Amino acid sequence: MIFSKGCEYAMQATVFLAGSGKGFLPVRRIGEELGVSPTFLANVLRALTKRGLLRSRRGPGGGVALAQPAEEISLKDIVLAIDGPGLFEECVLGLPGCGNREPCPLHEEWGPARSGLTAVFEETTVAALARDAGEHSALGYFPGSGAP
Amino acid sequence: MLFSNSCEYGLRATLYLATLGDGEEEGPFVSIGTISDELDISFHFLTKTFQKLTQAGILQSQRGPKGGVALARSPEEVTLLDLVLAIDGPGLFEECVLGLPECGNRRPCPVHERWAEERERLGDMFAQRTLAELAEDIQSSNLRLADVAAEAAV
Repeated sequence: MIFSKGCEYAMQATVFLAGSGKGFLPVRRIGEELGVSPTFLANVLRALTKRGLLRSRRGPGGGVALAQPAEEISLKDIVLAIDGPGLFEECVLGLPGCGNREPCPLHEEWGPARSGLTAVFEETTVAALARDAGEHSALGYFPGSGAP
Repeated sequence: MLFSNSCEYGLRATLYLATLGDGEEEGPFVSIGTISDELDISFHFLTKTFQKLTQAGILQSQRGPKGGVALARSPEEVTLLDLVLAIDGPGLFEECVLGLPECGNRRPCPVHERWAEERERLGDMFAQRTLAELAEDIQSSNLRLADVAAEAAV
């Protein structure tokens, strides 16, 4: 809800890649796991590749792979690549000029709230999510996490 | 963004109504066109958002030349949370941040707990702010509800 569908799939796909323990996975395969059309997913993953989070390779044995260690990719990195910095930087009422000098009515309390939200995404790495995708987790279809 | 565009506009518009109060000789209703001009928000967008707020019993509307929208409840009784739920629904407070349909307290995804904490804090913050308080803040501190550019153009 706060993120676009593309962003949600980007996060899921990256965690899946991290947890698979393999290098390159075909986009189609990831699409099957996530239940997403490969065409849509390919667009999303292309944006991640452009940002240097993933790399891609054509041909047999190709697909996409993490371009950085999973411990160094945070959820915030992925959000920035797909949905942009809005959530982490913008006024909660969407006023472009809102800031300390010309605050909107919610500015004062939004600041700390936004910092709290940002911290969740900055501090949650793809590695941690892949590791914690255990049998009780909703990431049930991920490798090593038991049956969905 | 945290809220949809509709929600952002709806918040600004309702705050604007709250700052006007009543007792104007034209009556409590403000035309949607006036609000659209003052806040530089599309008339069409506003109409859709006001429909949701009217259905939720937060606003009332009236047709005709002296018509428009007005608060249907006292501003002390309407919280920011009421507005957000009326326009965007409960999704922000219920859905998984990774978009996983089965994620919840019983079968949490790995980021569920941390996220749930933050959004509860957000929900509490919104639940504690009433329209009346915000209207007072706006009036006493001259806080802005519209872009500087829009105000300059008026």
